Amino acid sequence: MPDVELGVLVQPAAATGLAGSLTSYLFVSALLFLCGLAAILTRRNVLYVLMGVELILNAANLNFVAFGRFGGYGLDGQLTAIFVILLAAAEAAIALAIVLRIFNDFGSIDVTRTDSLRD
Amino acid sequence: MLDFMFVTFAALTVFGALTMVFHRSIVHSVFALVAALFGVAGLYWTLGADFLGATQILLYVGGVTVLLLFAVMLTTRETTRVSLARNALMAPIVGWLGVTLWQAYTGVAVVLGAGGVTPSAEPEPTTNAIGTALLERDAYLLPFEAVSVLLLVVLVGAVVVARRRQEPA
Amino acid sequence: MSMLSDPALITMLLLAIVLMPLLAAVLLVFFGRRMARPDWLATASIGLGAVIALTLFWQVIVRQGDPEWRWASVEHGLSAAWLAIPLMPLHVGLYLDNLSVIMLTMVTVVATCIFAFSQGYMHGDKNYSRFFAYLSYFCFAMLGLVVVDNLLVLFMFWELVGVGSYLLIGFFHDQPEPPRASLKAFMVNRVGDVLFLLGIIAAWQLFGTLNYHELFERLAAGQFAPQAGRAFPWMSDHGLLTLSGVLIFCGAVSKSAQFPLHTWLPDAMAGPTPVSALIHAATMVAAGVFMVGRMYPYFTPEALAVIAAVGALTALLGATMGLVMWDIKKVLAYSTMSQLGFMMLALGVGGWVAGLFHLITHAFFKACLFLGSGSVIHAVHSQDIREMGGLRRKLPVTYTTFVIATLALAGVPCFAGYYSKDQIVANALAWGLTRGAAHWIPFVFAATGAFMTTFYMLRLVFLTFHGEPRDHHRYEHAHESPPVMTVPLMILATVALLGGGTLNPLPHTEDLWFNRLVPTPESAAAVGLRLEGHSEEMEHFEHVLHTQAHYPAVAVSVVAILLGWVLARAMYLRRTLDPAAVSARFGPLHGLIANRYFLDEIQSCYVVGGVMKLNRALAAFDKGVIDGLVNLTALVARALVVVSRLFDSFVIDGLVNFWRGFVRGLSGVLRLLQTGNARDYLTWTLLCVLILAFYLARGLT
Repeated sequence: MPDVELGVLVQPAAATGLAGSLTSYLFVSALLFLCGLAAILTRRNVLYVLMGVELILNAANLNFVAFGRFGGYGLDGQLTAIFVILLAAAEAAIALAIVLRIFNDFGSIDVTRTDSLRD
Repeated sequence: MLDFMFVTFAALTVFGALTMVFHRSIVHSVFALVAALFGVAGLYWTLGADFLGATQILLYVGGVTVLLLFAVMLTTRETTRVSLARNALMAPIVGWLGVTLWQAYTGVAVVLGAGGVTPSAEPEPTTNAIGTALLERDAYLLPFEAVSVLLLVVLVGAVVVARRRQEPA
Repeated sequence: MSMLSDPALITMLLLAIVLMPLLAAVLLVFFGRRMARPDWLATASIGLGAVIALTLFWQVIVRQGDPEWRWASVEHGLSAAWLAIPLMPLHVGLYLDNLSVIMLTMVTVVATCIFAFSQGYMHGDKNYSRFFAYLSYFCFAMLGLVVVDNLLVLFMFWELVGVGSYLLIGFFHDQPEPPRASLKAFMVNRVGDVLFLLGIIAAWQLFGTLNYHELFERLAAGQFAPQAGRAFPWMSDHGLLTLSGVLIFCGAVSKSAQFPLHTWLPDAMAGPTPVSALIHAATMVAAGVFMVGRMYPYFTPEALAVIAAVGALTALLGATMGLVMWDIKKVLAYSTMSQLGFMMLALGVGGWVAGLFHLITHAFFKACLFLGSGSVIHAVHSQDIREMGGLRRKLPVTYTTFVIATLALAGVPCFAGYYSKDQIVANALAWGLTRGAAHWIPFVFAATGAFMTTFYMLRLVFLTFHGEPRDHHRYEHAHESPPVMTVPLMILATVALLGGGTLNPLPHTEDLWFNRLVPTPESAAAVGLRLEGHSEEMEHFEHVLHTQAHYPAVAVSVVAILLGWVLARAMYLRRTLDPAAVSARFGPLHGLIANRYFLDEIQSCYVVGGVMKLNRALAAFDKGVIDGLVNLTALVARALVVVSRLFDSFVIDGLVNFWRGFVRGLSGVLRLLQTGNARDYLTWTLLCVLILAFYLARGLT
């Protein structure tokens, strides 16, 4: 991608303001995390669990990048985020396989049905 | 300008996430997730991580959401509903968690003295640097290679896990 | 060199005399059955003792001849500390004076003769070695009694002698009579021993010591212990001393068969004849007299009067009973009782030398008489003189020695018994002369007793050895005893003949070796008088004794003997008087005497009966109260069992059940967590993470 085009979007960080403060990013990240958690805990469909996990991972990624940008860590934040994305993708693949297995074995993707661990 | 960008993308992300959590239909939720992921990518761009944002769109939006859609397609038999009783229990927990997290974040931010670090005067493209870092022995070469192996393993593993059982029941 | 100057040597010799028989006894008890000749071991042990004693006798009596000689091992530091309690430290040592040496010699020599005699008499008995073991043990106890130097150890040996007597009387334990007799002897002696012990305790309280040496010193000085610690503090020194003396004398009453504790002696004849000779003629019964003689300075005039009275009564009583007996040994037993009474009488009236001299001479001729009777019994296998007669032709040696001993016993002049008996009569006469009234009784009884003694002994001799045999079968089979039995008889008879040390019928008292060498100790009365400055009373008695009493006493004795001889000859030899008619004349009296004055019956009825009643009462108490208490505790224990069982089932089990319920409830609650739902698990995990985070956050700030 030509740098010039992105340069429109990527600007030197302002000393103040929303985009220039770490806390706003942290705020977003926190919200994302909570949404992901809510999705996991409150929905009965196992796919929601998957999606919730993705949201949480994204929240973490945002944290990494934000701190990397504002904490003087160079590109480490971004590189970590890259690896996280990669791993998230891999994990999603496995998760899908598991969901298919659950669907086959339990006949449903309702998490309340998968209670073989029950006493 | 940047602030406007930030707010837009942030709003997209948050509303997308919320929709995903609370919508009744799963398909709607999946597409709300897509929107949230887009928003995150935008936030990366506002943070100057251009390559990362692109990668986010490629992998997450392109890959993971497609996977999710396939899953939805393969497994949906009945509509699911939100369990209201559980919601009543979860709300305070989740609320408190949010507060705690916020406190933790801000605290750390204070500790780090962030909020005014200016890494560079003008934005630099990161692709070159990331690419170099990934292949540099003293940087991220090893994780890079390891992840490749991991992806291979995941590929095989997913097939193994999803396979129908051959033995008689 | 004089052995007497070496204290260690004397101690060793004395200990040898005393302990060799003990050693023999122990060896015989354990190994007697396996020995070839157990009798030689026993006889050797006592024979060696006799040799040592004779050596001592030679040194002390013949060569040294010092009347005042004393030897106390305490003075030479050779005593053993026995009890080290501060209140009453007790040392055991040896005490010798002329009297002890003579006693030792008498005991060992007589015992040796008897041991030798027993080899023949007890031959073939199935308990041969045990007999000699017991005899040796007895000798040990008797010799120990003679040599110790304090009252308490004397008492110990006193009791040991009693045990020996018990063992030996009851030797033929499978017959009915001996065990009963030995028990009776022991029990009667016990009565006296208890009183003896009380007297010893009183002596301790009076003087604070039981050692002869110290005791005599304090008596001579009139040095009494303070009255504070006594049992009867209100009693005066003199009163307590009298009481104590009487109590101590009671020990001699039982041991020396004085009235009323004499009942055991005739029954003791159930033991073997050598035993009767040794114990009940020469030694054990003599121990009482020896003890009274030893303790002579201890007795107040009142105590001495009691002794004299008891002795006189015993002398007469014994003599009367000896008149009517048909058993040889019983006659001799009552004769012994009578003679012991004579000795006590002598001691009581102040004739100390006379009494103890008589003790020594009596031992020899009485032993000779008993052994002679043993020889007769051995020959005819009977003890009843009605089945005998004319045996002098068949048993010449026995007859001769028996007659010699009889003459000595009767007090025929020139024989040993005459010198001692004559002095007794003289002293009794002097006592009566100096005090008058009731104090004549001892003399009268003594004279009568002398007459009776002659009479019954000659009766015995005539019926046994003279006349025609009444049982021809026994007579045919009778034969003289072997030398092992006759030689001791001869030895003893010789001493009976020559023991006086002189053949002068009218000697001065200084001529008599005993009188010269064994001076009378100062009696308590004399001490009292001396301390008050009235010694002339004692001198008066001595004066009367030597001048006025001497010849009349001789005359009276001779008359008594002649009378007895004439009467006995008339009744039993020449048959001019019919014995049956005489006893019919004295009908009721004769019956009384023949039944021993019913004293045995009185004793067994009142004394034994009373004790048995007490026994029953105590047994009832034991059963009722003591056992009741025990049963009560058992009941309590049972009740406790019930209580603990209830406790167990309610409390313990209750606790267990409670926990069971608790755990069940708790687990029931906890089980609700296991929903099997992953979301729920995640929820709980989240909760815990929150809590952790909360505390972490608090820790960080």
